[in-house]
Amino acid sequence: MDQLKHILLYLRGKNEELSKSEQTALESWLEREEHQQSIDEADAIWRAGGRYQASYEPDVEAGLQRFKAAIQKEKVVHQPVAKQRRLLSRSWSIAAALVLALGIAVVYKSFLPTAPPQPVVLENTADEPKVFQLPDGTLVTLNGNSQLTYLPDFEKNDLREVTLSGEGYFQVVADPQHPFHIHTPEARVEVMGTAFNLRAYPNEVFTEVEVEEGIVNLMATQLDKQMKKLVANERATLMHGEGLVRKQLNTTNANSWKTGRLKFRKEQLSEVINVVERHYGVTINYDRANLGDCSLNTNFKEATIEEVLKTFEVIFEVKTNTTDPDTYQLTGGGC
Amino acid sequence: MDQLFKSYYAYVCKAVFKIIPDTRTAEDIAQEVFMEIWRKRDRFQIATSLKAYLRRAAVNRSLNYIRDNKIVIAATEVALQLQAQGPKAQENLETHELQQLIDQSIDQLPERCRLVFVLSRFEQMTYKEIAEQLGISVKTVENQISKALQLLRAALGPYLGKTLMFLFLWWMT
Repeated sequence: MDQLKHILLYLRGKNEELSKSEQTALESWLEREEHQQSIDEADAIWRAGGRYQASYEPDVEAGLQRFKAAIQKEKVVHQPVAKQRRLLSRSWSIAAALVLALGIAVVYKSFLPTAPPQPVVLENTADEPKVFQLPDGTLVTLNGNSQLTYLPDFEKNDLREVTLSGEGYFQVVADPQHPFHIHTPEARVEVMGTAFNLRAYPNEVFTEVEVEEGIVNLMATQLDKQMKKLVANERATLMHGEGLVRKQLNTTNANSWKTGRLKFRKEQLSEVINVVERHYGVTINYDRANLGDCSLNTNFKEATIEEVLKTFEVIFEVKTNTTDPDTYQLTGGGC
Repeated sequence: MDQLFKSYYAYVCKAVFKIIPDTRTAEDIAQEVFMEIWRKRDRFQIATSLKAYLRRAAVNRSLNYIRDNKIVIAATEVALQLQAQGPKAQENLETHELQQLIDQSIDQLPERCRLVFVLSRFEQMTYKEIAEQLGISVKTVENQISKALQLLRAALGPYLGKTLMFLFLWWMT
């Protein structure tokens, strides 16, 4: 034990300065020859460890293609052209000129008197979620009253662009050379390949993205054009006309309408109730000060709202009353 | 920029991969590192070497990723018995065999143990810095380091005796 302590001290000394007393203690301990040997051994392991290599070879060419695609996007989105010209080196200017030329070509083409291609409309008017597969292989599950629009051949363009009204759960096929963009009236969502839920109903005052895996960029197109980057287990809510809020989640439930499952991992009851209200389309009134911070750890699978409330009754010892249909009141209880 | 990317992309990916052993995340983070340089290209200045800068950027982003995503690093307390493997422990390992053995042995450490060891060994982070970054106590860091040492000694010990000298020379070059 004493030996281990000194070895640790010795190793610690490699990355930081030891105090005078630690230094002295180590030196006097090292005077014994067998101690010196165990330090030598630790050193050998330390040195051997220094040769550790990550045993994988990234595909540089694929990475470069993806990087170039990201730069193209970045240029179009962020850089005013005049400013760009001043800053760019020669090769970048050429690239910028190409982009410009391409842009002109696209604009020009759109003025040609050819019949514009008719967009493809996917619609789900039923109550049940419906799964669609796009030409690029991407899976979209549309919630009720939701619509997804895209142009034929959309997968062959530089950007895979679609428009959503309503709510959808996306499992986007990764294709670094063709980033996937989803337009909604208030926002734009940009992804490479990932799974996430996007909610943008015309009759609601917010647009919301919840990410299950990968990285998703959300831009408030009608506001400040701020872009927020979201990673797994993050949710961004754009309150229309107000701003973007990002929140860390212990668990994602946004696609519960698709899975019929709700899962909560040490989630605050205020958040739980938010999710439950949305999932069942009900209103739950409760004493926020008393119950809001209680934590819940449970799963519901295809449960009815009554079963969920029953669980609250058992765990938090609350009483449930219902006044109007779809409105519930929790009283008493605590955690 | 292309040249820079081609020269260092793999290096950055690997630096991240050492910390987050997931190829997809490693590549996502490496992309961000280069994107950041591209964004700052007109006022990009580095005090040290480019390589050192890239490494720093990669490590910082990886640690932020771990923190932001509250990635739970499994603290498997099962005493993994790493055993001396590979070609029977009779000395004279070829260089590449030794390399393989070292990689394997470290890969097989429990994840938290591996991460703490890597941060200390490669990123020259102090125990306190590691503790803060990972949200664990300094005591835990010390425990993990000594666990790593013990497990690695069990795995590498038989070879290190004879190869110690060789390693030492290698280290000096």
